[in-house]
Amino acid sequence: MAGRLLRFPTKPISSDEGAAAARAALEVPIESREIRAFALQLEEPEVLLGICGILRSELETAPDKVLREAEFFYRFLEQPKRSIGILDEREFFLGETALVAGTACRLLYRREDARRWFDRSEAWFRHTVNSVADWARLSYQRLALRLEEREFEEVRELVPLLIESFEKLDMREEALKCRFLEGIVLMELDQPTRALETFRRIRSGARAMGNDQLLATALTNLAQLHAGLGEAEEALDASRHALLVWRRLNNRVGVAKVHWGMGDLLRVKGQPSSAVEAYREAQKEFAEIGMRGDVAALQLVVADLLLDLGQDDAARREIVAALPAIDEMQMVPEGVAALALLRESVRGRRIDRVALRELHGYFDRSES
Amino acid sequence: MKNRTRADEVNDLFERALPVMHSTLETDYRMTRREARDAEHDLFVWFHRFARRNGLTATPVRSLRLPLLVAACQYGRSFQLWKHGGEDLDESLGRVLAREPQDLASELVDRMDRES
Repeated sequence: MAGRLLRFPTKPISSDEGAAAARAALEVPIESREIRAFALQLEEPEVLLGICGILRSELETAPDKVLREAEFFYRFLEQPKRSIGILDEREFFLGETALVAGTACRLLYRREDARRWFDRSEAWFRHTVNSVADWARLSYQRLALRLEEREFEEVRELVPLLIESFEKLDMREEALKCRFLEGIVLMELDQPTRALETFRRIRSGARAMGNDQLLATALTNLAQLHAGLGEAEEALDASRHALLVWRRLNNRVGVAKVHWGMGDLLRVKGQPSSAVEAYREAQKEFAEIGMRGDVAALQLVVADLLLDLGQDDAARREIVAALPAIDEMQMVPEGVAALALLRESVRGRRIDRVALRELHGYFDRSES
Repeated sequence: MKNRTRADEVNDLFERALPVMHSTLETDYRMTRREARDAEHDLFVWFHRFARRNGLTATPVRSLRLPLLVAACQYGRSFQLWKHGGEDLDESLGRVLAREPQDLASELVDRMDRES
């Protein structure tokens, strides 16, 4: 019998029902999800809103998984063209899933892919009611990407403009997030005193807003700065506080970054074995959530430390283990050059320390 | 006193903007009373979800007034363009439809501020 399927309007669902349906949808394996789209209410805006919220909250802890999910929902919404919600909701969800996918790619060091997703996001956000705010959030991710590509002067110039946009839109949390970019640039440009001031201001702002995520990130950066200045007590105090908040938030990336910072501190304090232990803790957390780039970066850091201890063979093994993951990353040209020098030196008798340090300097653990 | 939720604040803002939206939909966009009521219902549902979008959950509700009015104007404009298709429109409706919803919404915000 030839014919067409008529779809009748369904009863709208509440936000609680939407959130529950979003969790249920994400539990269904991706490969069997589309065929069950109607039962899972995947075209229901409340469900999509819940999904976007969940994916965003898991970005830092499971970027690999979030990328797969965001890509699935983006493709689902894009083709065939579905009628989703009211007014701009389809365009918003397309822009948002693309933004989430791009952010996940950035966290996974897949920078070309991140750029492509950000372009898609921009194209869809062009049609949203609140496009200025949506574009501002997208601009933040683009600036974070430029920061990772070490374009410090550009970021320094553009961050204040973005903060102004967020403040005009009354998006105070987003404005505060931008201050992180400012602080990290100051750290990278070797202005630790100004960076400390910036992160202290962020810490106060986050406390005033009751935003634990921003508070813990500020504390993590403060710990790192104090460690770099040789202020061990302040660094340990900030680290302990940060660890508490990250654990409360169940944020494993945050926990890993604090362990990493503690490793740096112990190293500076001349406790290499404890430093290696702290780095291993960080590696374990990163490995369990699939952040291979960070695992590899830590392998290089540990290799550097092992060279200090005269354990050249062990250092060589760390580097060799890290190289495949580093190869997969899309690094800036200086990083590629350092990688080539390091690879060459590992083949020879003497590991190139300068190349090793340059290379692990390209991984940034302080991003918010 | 009962704690006010964000949803309560969203309701309040919507109610405060409702007379202006209603008048815009009926007078500027020439919707019938029935069409305007349906539009307002849709806008109410949309606005509650809008206020929970990523990036906006911590934004004070009072700052969402302009996007709500932009949405109302966009709704009215899209509705009349769809309803009239390629037909000739009378001059005043044609003028309203030629305007950007954002511009008209900004005027409505100013009007609300003057009247409050």
